[in-house]
Amino acid sequence: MTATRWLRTLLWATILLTAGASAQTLTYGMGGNFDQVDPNITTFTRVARITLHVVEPLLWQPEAGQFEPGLATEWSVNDDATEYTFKLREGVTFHDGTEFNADAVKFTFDRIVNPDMKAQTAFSQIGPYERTEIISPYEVKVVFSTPYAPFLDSASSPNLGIISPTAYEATGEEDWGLTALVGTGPFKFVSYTADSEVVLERYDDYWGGADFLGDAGNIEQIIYKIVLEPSTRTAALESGEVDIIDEVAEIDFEFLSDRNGIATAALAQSGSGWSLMMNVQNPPMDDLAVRRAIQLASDKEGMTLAIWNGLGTPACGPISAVTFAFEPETCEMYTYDVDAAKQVLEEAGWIDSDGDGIREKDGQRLTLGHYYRAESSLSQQMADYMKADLAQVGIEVELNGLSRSGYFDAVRTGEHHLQNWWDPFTDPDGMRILFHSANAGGGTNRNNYINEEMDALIAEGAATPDSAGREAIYKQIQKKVMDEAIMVFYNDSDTLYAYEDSLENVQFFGGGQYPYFFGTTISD
Amino acid sequence: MFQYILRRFFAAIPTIILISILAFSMLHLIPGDPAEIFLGENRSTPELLAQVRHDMGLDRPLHVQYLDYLGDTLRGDLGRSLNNGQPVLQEINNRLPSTLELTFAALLIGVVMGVSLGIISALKHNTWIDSLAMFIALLGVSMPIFWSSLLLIFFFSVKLQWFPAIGQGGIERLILPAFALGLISSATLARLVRSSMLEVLSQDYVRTAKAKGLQPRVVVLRHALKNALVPTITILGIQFGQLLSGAVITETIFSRLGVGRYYVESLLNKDFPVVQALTLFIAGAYVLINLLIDLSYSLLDPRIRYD
Repeated sequence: MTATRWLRTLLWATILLTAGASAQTLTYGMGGNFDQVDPNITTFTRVARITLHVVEPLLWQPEAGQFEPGLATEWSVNDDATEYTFKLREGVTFHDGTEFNADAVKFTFDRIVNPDMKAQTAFSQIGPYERTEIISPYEVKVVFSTPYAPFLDSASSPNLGIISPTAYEATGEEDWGLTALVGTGPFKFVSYTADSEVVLERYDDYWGGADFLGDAGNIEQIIYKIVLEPSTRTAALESGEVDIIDEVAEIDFEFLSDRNGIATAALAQSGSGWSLMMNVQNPPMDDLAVRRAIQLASDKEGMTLAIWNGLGTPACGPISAVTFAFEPETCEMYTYDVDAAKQVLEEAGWIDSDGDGIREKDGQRLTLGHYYRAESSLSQQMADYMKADLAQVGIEVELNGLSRSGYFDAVRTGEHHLQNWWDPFTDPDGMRILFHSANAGGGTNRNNYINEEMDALIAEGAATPDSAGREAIYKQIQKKVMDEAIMVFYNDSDTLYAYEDSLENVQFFGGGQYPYFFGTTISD
Repeated sequence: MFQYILRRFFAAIPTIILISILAFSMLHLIPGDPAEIFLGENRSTPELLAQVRHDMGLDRPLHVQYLDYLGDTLRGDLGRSLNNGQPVLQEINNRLPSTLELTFAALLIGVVMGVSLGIISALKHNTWIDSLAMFIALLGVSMPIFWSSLLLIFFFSVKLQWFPAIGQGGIERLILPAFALGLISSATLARLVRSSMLEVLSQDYVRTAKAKGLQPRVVVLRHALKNALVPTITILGIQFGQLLSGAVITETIFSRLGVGRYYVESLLNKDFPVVQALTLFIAGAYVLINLLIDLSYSLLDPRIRYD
């Protein structure tokens, strides 16, 4: 072999070696803004999307209702679901070198319920939390004031990820989530520039991760770039400036799916899809016939085609088909039928007596006020579509697109008849957000639906740790919701991603809400 | 001259204070509660709402809130955002360079393109060149900025891959957004320069200049253009405001950090500290630019003096 050939072989070997093991940067085009990078406080799903890499939960939930060990290796629940005991993994360190142990778990959970923190998503997920008892440095007992069967689901949520108490105290509340966020995850928080980007970097002393996750990939750094405009996100993916984008515009999805070099993912959401809340306390919404007529007059198929470009699934009831305890019978309860809707109204005495196309009853005109945030084009489209659907059966809809503050004022005080909702909760207990009386009157139950039987069912579901028993209760709740026609469920949406097909093994959790890059490899 | 600047500077102080009072009272008069927006779609009990309002300092009497705010501002403390707790000054510092860079680059493109188009079409008055130049100008004013921005991204980032589509830093990330933004100013300026040039070109002194045998280039640039620029400069001040508002859209589409987007987002959230700080900042910038424009008149036209 001549010297040049040697040299050439050596060169090739070097290139191949470095290519195989080369550390990679993953750039992520994110479709919206958020407040602080603090999963324990935020209300933004996007924050949890990022922080799952940094701050790990006790458990993982690869499939609805199936739990895997994470920072907790074993767990048990008492009979009435008021006490959860977790054995914690030993030998795990936070990114600041602090040891992960029972103190950190207690510190994190206590902080979430501290009223000064005003925690949002995590606060609702932690439920009737009372205290955490430290049994030993690696064993905790989490105690609830009332039965709380959904806690395993919550314990697998990124929002209940465990933070380093020492790092938190060193940083201080004001800057936590702005300049620092310290967990045990495979990536360290490097920086956050509001409205612009979050940078994460691989943590070399990572404990290895849950078994089911497999091996680590080759990503050294993740940059989440905020790219608000959907067309720009698509363009940035096409031009190679970002490797993956979320919230893909429905209208771009099909053409991106056909593109060479680009892969797409449409993941069915868990929880409650795009829907219409009906304020049952504001007449004429208190009339069951009116609500049933609205169910029958809603063309969900048409709406899915027109608004979501055919993506997602026309919804059946309060939880989507991929959510634990979904009741398929709800799909049969109302099918789009304009004549049937008219008939229901006629029978209830709603007649168009003056011939103007709008029905009346006892001098009351069948006019409904639909409130939504004017800045959201999706809300506008749903409201427009509904207005046309209901006009067909003689119901008039007044559209009130308002600024954020005007909208919140109106719907919290119950001025509205109709308003939209979407909630990707992962446990059917999430239905309490929509139907429990405790959330009525200004809270999230803007149906203002107050019903003792419903409250009792929700409480029973939360008090039943056995999953077959829970399933039966939640199925009953779904049928009750549809029977009383409390809300109209339009579309169980697909969460849409598009990425370079050089990205291998992207995992998704939480009904597609959380793309996870621990095991992801970028090939050259 | 120096005295004039000093006088203008002191005259600006009451203007700024008045603006701060106006901005403050308007923000508090329009309905909507920042605490409610902060809580968003989530749980909201009256107690929680009251606590958030207390933490935000909104439960104090209005005049106390104003005086505290004035005092803090004079000490250079612009507070923290109600929405995400970020220090406002730091946030403005983060975003301002990017917006200034974009606005000035756009202004530069606007002036160079607009003035050249204006001169050419005035000189070639009523020819096809004139028509073409004015057609380009018409296209520039009538094309919505988000549309021209997306077209630029499509051709130059996706198809040709010459420039990146998103982010800031480096001239390669500045060219497309500055061009999209500058297009509008160039169109307005081109029409304005054309009409003032046409007017000036028919003046006696231009005929005299031509008659004494000066080169056409000298006649156009030194005698005609200098005089035609006075109304143009006035418009430039107004253009600056238009560019700032156009920057909101450009910043969003090209995913650039900037005060424009920050301002609009904060206004929607009724994030008082941010809106107040930015209102003051923009008012200050306007005062400064108007002063600069007034001063530039005397450079262009020696008959205008500030003694």
